[in-house]
Amino acid sequence: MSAPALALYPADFLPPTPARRLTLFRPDGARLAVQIHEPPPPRSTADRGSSPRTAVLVHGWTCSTTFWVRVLHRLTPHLRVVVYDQRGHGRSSPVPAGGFTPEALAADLAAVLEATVDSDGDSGGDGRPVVVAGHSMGAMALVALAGRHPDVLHRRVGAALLASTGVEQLMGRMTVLPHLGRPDSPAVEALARRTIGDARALHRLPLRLARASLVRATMSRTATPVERAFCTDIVLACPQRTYEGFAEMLGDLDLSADLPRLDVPTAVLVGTQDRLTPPWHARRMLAALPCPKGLVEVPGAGHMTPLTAPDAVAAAVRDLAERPA
Amino acid sequence: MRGETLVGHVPVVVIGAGFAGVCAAVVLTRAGRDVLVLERGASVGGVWRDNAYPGCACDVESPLYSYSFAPNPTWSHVYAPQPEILAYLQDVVRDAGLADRIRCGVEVRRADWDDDALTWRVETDHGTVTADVLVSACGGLSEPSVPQLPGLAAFTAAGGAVVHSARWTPDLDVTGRRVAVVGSGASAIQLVPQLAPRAAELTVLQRTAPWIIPRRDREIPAARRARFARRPATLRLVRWALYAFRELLVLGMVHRPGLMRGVESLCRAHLRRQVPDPGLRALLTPTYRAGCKRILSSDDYYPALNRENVELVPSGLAGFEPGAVVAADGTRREADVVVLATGFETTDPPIAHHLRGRGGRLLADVWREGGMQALRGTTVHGFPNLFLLVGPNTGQGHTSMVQIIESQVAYVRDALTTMERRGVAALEPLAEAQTAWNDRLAARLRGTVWTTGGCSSWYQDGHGRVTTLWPGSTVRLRRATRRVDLAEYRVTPPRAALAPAAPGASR
Repeated sequence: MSAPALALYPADFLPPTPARRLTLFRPDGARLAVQIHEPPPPRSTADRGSSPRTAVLVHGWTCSTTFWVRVLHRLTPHLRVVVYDQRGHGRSSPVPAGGFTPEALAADLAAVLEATVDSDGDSGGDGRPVVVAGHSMGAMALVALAGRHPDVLHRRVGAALLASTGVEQLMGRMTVLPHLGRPDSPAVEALARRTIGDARALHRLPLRLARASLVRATMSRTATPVERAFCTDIVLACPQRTYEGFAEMLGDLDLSADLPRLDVPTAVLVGTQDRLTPPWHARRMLAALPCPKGLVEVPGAGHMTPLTAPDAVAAAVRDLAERPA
Repeated sequence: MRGETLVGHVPVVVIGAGFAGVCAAVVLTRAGRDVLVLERGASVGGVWRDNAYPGCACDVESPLYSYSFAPNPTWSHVYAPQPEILAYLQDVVRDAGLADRIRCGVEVRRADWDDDALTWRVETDHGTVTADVLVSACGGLSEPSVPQLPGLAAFTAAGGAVVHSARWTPDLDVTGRRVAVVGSGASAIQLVPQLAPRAAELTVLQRTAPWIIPRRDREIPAARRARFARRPATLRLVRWALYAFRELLVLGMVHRPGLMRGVESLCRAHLRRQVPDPGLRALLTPTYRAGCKRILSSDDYYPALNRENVELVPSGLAGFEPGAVVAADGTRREADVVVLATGFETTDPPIAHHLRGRGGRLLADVWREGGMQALRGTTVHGFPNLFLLVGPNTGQGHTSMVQIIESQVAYVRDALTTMERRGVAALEPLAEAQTAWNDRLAARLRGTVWTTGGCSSWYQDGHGRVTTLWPGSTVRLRRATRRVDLAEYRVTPPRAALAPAAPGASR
């Protein structure tokens, strides 16, 4: 009798409802919106004794918890998952003055871990690591945490995934703009800074053009129309002040000194067509990591791997979660 | 009406003093009928008295949502707020000099058709009267639909408050409290923007996302109001323009559900403008054809959902726990106050459980067996001299209900005139006429958006039959209820005429 449902969004893109929400108050006045997703209770009696393992997902610049929606759908049947909106993003509060720093991002992550994850680097007492997966600036927050809060790293984190990220020369290594000279030449870097960090200009563009520029920068040709729309909507929802504040931070960022202190098993994931943080970064990070656990290259994928390659990202997280510490 | 006991005989008894009851009282009194209105509430107003929740306002432009015989040039807003509409109704009653025709605080317990006396015997909690004609004007949205869910007692025992939107208590303060609003229909989307800034946390439990068009409510400037008052023709012009525009929607809903895509893109653009996060937007995007459920209008509902302290849970309410509500998907949210914006009993009207027709048959039983149906939405086989205002298949999803009410009241007026002229004491629709009418309705309902749109709604009864809506334009309904066609009725002359003539009475 009833007509077929006229669903516009695939079920994969409908955010699951968290079991709990927390508001985390930071000393500098920022408030973080945190979600905790619980897996369904175990069916077999054998699994009942152990509590589920935890993954903490940290989104990147101009994104939000919504960005993880497809990965969440793949992880929540198996893991306890914590996601939060980084300062200035999503439902978290605007960034207080002076708050656009890697130190603040690292301290935020540390606070989220303290609030949601048991100490000893596991959540069930069975020696399974808590996995922190960071995408882009979220991964940078994790690297910054390794340099500044090693105690938190050692007590709470058992393994890490650095997805589509880099820790240095971010502007110079981008391949978003056509090549005008050597990748690390000052002219190219200056141009990248000017164009990439200008939120006002982006929002002044007609919507269609703004989307096209974002797709060009962050996605590859393989991205589907739904993925493109969803991704660009997330970026366009980012407040302009957040967008520009962190763009400036990223322009000067160099966390290469912190990378060797990320001494937990760490996997690196990158899309081969990533223009924002090209595979150059992935290989370089892998060489500097004290405890590398392999490089996952997603063929054809751009920068937004959790949206366009959720299977690969979720598999990498589960792989780390199931690896004995 | 404390202390007063009602006895005796009244030509016309009207049950209910809402928009329909007041309309019947005014029109029938003007036509020279002696009318008594029985209202169980403490005052006139119907839904506009009951729905006093914060933010309550009309969904139809006020110049259209008012009586044609009582134009009101003083509406403050395009969509007048509830207190103003209530005051308007009270003014209409006062201006028509009907105050002494209405008895508030009188509840009808039962009404029985007396086939010997050819009268209705109306038993109230303040005495019993008989009436030639009974007009039920109880409305389609008078009885709150309250879900019976586990854990309610434990929730209230733990200090939680539960209130239905149509039974709002003015002293309920949500400031700093955790509030759960159950539902995302017409009441909820008016309530949520009002409660969100005051509540500490607000959870909206949404079973089905509504289609929401921009409301663009605005104040009517004083100069415009003065012009309406000075030149009533301008107000009439606005009224008819609004009417004509809204009638266009019928085209899509009834005849070409595909045309509703135009409305959908309007709604989606509205959603896009107001909700930046595509995740929340996905949860708020309906998956059925617009019009299948009532199309809502709001400019402040979506922004309220963007707030940090507001969460949309895409699942209905399944039950309560002490200090918390539990959604059907297992989500548990702490709450001090639960607001049930769960709407009304629409397909099992409570008044039907109090009306007994020929042979003592209860209207509710008749409808349970044969489906809720009537002839021309107004009269029912087996129930002589009963007229239902806002009866089966007279609702609509696109325009002002007052249009329907006035059409039906005109039908009642004509019926009374006809009865008088023809010397008829009792009028009862023929079973064949009623069946033919409902067959026609059913044929017209096939293919409408309400049956093909892919949703379940309060328009449908438990079997998915649309028993509440009129499948067509209000013009068509007006035409269908202009005159009583006696060919559709069994007419009974007064009992005195049947009795053998008394000696000496004949010449």
